[in-house]
Amino acid sequence: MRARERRAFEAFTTAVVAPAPPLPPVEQTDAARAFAATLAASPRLHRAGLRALLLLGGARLAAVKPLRALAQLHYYGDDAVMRRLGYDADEVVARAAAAAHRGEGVAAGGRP
Amino acid sequence: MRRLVADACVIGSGAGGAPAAKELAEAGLRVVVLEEGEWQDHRTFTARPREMTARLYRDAGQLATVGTPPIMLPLGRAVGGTTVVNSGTCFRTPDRVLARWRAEHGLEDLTPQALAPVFDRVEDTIGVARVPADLAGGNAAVVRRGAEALGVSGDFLLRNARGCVGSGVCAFGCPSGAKQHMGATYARLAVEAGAEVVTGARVREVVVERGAVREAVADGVRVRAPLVVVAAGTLLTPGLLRRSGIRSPALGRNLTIHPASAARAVMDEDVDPWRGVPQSYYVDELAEDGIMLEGIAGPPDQAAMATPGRGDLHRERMLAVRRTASFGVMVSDGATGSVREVLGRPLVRYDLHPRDAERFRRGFELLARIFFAAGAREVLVPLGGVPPLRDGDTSPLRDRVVRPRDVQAMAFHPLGTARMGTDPARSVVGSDLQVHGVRGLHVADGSVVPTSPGVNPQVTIMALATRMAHALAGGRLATA
Repeated sequence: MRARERRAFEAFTTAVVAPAPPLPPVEQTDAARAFAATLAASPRLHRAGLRALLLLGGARLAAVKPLRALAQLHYYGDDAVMRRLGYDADEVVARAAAAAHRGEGVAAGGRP
Repeated sequence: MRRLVADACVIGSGAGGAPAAKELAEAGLRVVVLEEGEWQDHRTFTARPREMTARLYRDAGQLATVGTPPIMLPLGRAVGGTTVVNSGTCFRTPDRVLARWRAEHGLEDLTPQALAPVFDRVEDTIGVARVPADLAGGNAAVVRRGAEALGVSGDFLLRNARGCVGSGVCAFGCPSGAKQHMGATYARLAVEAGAEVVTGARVREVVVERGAVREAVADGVRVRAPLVVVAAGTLLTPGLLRRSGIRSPALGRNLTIHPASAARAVMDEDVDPWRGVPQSYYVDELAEDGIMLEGIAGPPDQAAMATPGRGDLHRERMLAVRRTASFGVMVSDGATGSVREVLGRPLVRYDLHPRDAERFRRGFELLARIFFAAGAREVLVPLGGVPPLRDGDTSPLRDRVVRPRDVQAMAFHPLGTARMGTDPARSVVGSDLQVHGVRGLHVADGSVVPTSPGVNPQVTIMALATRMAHALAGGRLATA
């Protein structure tokens, strides 16, 4: 994502999630980086459309539910934001790994 | 171009393809599986929905229907297909649904008695067991408490998991490896029985000559085989068959999706909805009317998308997310949708029927009563025009006429676009899942399911694929 697109995404996301203490501003999260990863995994047509919409529509897009959901997903997916709300992904992974190590989860991982 | 020769080529490794491959390979056939996705190692799953959605879902989870209302339709892409990212809920096909298939689609041999040993075999392979109460999580505890207070029928769900520790992220890749999805069970068993799984292989066409299948052509590989099983999934199978010259008036039509939506209830106590099995409890009080209530929950980023409002209101609701329970309403819909390929991608047309919109209203009314009986302070229902419900008052919902455009829904079970039946004018495959009029070309995925079953369909799809494979391999269930 180019700098201008990142700024547009952050402005749009700020309009959607209205961060205020105890939640951090959008710029202090990894929302934009994660959104760039989502764009990279998106179909070409979606990718182009999302980029154009962000640049042209800005904060007005907060009225569009699917776009709002994207902003919410990427802001609230930041590790620090999730921890503030009570969810610690690293703790979940560590607990799962410990269970798998004990042999409680019997499914083998990856390519046989 | 790599060229392979096999007795059977299976296209796709989800709930239909993987069981077909395993059963055919164990019967001694040389099997090649062509899968667009890759093997996924649970040790690399991060319990972060935002990240895992981009990695495990087709189109980064952005597939949606075109119609009223637009409905997100997320599908998995991996060895194991959508079973890698589903909730793991297991139901046998209800007897009343099988009776309908016999009466309306001529599927006389699909009786509960005939299917019982097939269901047994599937459930044994994927480790189906009921969720224990101590793993069901606070979300289920709220609904169970309310349902029991009202005397409403419900129970813990059956799931395909072994050694589950309640990681709470079934839909984003089980990090403990407990979920017994197709990539961890059937696909591996197929490999152990000698099958070859070719990943990263998007199939372009199936070659049919003089009424019989000849080969499957994918990017970088061709597989010549007298038997091809198409299991690309309900939304992709019709396009592949059309590209392969198959013509049927039923192909791509009769799409059902089990539209689903979720209400949220703010409680006094911490619910921690991300702890425990997200879909662990169900209420089937209205099942005969095509309405099921099932758990749905997840980490804050997933919850944020389902939390209504924006700006300050949304933030305040998110700050209460630990105390917020959520539960889904799933509707057994009529066949109002279709899929066709546009620019190489599935275009899904679907309009919610007004009758199904009314089912959502009824489902949410019952769910709101359950939440209030459990002590909810406020219930948020995602139906346009319905205000937040407070003080146990469900009258704003009870008195309202809900239109399709009022419903905010997602869907997880696309079915029916190459449905089975005895009449070639109304179906694409016969009860043996062979495409009408094409020797050796079979379909074994959700597309063959003729009507909405009203319950999570993965076991139905696995059973139909297993039954087909055994018929092709000689007609008897091999000993496991």
